[in-house]
Amino acid sequence: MKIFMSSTSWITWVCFFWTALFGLGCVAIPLWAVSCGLFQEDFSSTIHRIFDPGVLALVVATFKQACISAWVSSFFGLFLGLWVGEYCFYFPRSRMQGFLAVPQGIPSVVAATAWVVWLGRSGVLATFGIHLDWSYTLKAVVLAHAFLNIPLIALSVAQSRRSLAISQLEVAQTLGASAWDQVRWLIWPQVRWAWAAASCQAFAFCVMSFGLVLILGGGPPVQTLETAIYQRLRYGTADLSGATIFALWECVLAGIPWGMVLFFQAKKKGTLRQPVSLYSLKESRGKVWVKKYKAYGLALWCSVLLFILPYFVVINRHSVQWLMDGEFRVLVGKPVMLSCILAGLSGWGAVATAIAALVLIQSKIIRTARLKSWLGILLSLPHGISILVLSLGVWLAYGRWIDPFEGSVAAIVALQCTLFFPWAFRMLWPILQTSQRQQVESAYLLGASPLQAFFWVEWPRWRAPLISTFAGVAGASLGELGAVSFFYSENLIPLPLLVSRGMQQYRFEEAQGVAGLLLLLSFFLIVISVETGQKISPGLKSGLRR
Amino acid sequence: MIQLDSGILGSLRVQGLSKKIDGFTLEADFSIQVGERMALSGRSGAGKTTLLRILAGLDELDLSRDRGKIFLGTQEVTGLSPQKRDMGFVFQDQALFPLLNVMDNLTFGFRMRGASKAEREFQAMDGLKRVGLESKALASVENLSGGEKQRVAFLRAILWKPKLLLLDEPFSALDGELRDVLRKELVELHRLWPAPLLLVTHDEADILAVATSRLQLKWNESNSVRRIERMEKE
Repeated sequence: MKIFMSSTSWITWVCFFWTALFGLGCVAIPLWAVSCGLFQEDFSSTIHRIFDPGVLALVVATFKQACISAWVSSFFGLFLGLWVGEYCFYFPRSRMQGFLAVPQGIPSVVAATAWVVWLGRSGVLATFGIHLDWSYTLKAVVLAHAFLNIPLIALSVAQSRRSLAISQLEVAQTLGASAWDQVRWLIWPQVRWAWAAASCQAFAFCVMSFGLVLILGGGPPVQTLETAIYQRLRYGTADLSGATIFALWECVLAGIPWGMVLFFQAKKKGTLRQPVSLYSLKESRGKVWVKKYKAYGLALWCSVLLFILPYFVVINRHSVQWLMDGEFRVLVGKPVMLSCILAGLSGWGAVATAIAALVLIQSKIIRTARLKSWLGILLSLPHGISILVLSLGVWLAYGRWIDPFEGSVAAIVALQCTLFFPWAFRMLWPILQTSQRQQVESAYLLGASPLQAFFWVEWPRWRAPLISTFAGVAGASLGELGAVSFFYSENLIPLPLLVSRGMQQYRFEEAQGVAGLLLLLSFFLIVISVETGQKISPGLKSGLRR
Repeated sequence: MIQLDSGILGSLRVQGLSKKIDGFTLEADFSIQVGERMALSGRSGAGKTTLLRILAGLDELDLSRDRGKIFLGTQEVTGLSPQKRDMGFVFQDQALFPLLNVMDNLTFGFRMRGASKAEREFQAMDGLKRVGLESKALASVENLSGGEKQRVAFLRAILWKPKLLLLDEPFSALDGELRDVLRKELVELHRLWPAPLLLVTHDEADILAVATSRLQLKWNESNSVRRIERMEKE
């Protein structure tokens, strides 16, 4: 790609304006509108409102929920990650890591519905005599967050563990290092920053978790800043000023761990190494060794599937019966269509914006390496901002033109693009880095035009990542609830909102039926994303969920 | 390295070794005496590295189909884990620990044997002085040149006085002049600690400069048996 962008062509300028428009319109202006909304009154009263005991109590509750969820997730995620990492180290063709990425694409409304089905008073566990009655409690929220975040952390740790060269472990053995010594001196230093970064990421996700807390928290029993922002705007009279106070705290709580993630990721860069070729390793160790790992692998597969299968509880006898009902088609037909259109538009929007940003970074407009690096950080910023805060910003900034109560497809798509763009950017970035300059030049020498050279040399490299990224973004946006909750109308109700409404109005069978459908659609797209993603970089699939 | 106590050393004896590997059988029967530097050469993919890995215990013998015994002095080490064999191994890619500095890399073997901080640092500094790298003690191994990395790899393998030294093509990634220098340094280091040494190499110049004796891996296409045989060094 670099060679095609060697001159400052009109394509570069289009990319520049597109990226700038996106950054300003979807991030900078909404955030500016939120900060302006904060100081509508005089300074002292604003400070007084920020530190109001009621607000602080909610901040503490959010912090507590996120801390417990992240702590549980990071504890179990570390061990699962080390375990999976070791297995995939010896069996590099295993799809286990790919499956760890799947829970990232499970829609939060589906996860919440599934946990209600498991934990409810007459839920699945109760039918087996286990009366936990955890639904609509903090425990349920923590459990649900842990089930979503453990695979995220484990994936990060496993990738880091896998990147340790086997010769280092072997030389340590010849120097007398026991299994514990190897963990202490080689494996732990290798994985610790990845683990810390993933744990901070999990904390931020828990702070910004909306759909799950809204449904599983049951309203007043478990409230966080996210649900408070939503309630200030969508229930009763819209209290924009009150919502901005919560948005400020939300930015603080989510921003600090994101800052730490950037710090830890910078540390992590120094620990990543390419693994040596492991292809012959399995063969060289003989059948005894492989047999030993077969049992190990089976146990591991069970552990990994434990974080995927529970969600399929929403596809049960009641929900299938409801799905078979004629009423279903009337209720769900339009939302399915709408959800697919939104997912498609968001997918293409995020991918196109990511490509534009990548072209811009590689172009001559951005001259210094430092500037490129800063731009990269700036472009990943939306990932650290809550979708509800951005939605509030869009409401405040563009309320004159976009009436949230009338519904807006454009606002939903723009917000979802903003939300998933950083992930698309990270997925496509490594492809751009591995330039094939010599091959392209060879194609030129053989008489190919730039377009032909791109088609024959570069396009085969980009095809799988683009499909993977598009499918990933589309799958995630299919189940995204935050943006649609702000800009829906009675004529504009996508599937996640239908599930959320069903759960809140105690229409469980209907909610489970729609959740089942949503799960199947999202799962299909995420599996496509993970499978095509295996061909490129098996690592870059974390951080998709919201 | 300061105190020479090579009395604990014994010869390496590989007795009737036969290992089945992907459609061929590797057979070996040889010994290496204390102070001897043995070179092992043969075609690529013939099984030279596999032999080193078997000797170090990194590849296990499958007792249901493989046979043979490995002795170090009077002790049989065939079934022992790599940790208990006391063998120094230099990998082709050096396999230095990138997250530890030069000093920590060098003292790793001592640390695993419970040596005190003062003792292990003294030994490491002594080794570094011998190869002219004392100023690099606290440097990251990532910042070393190719030759410096190779010196650190040699030192790490030999400093803690292993009972056998195994080197897997240690000079292959270096340029010609540097190879000559490092070959001499290796011989010097080995004189200080004359454990039996087995060097796997393709390069005749390595054999001439380093080895005192030689093994050849003979490859017989028809019967799929590859034998390691002792040869006279020219």
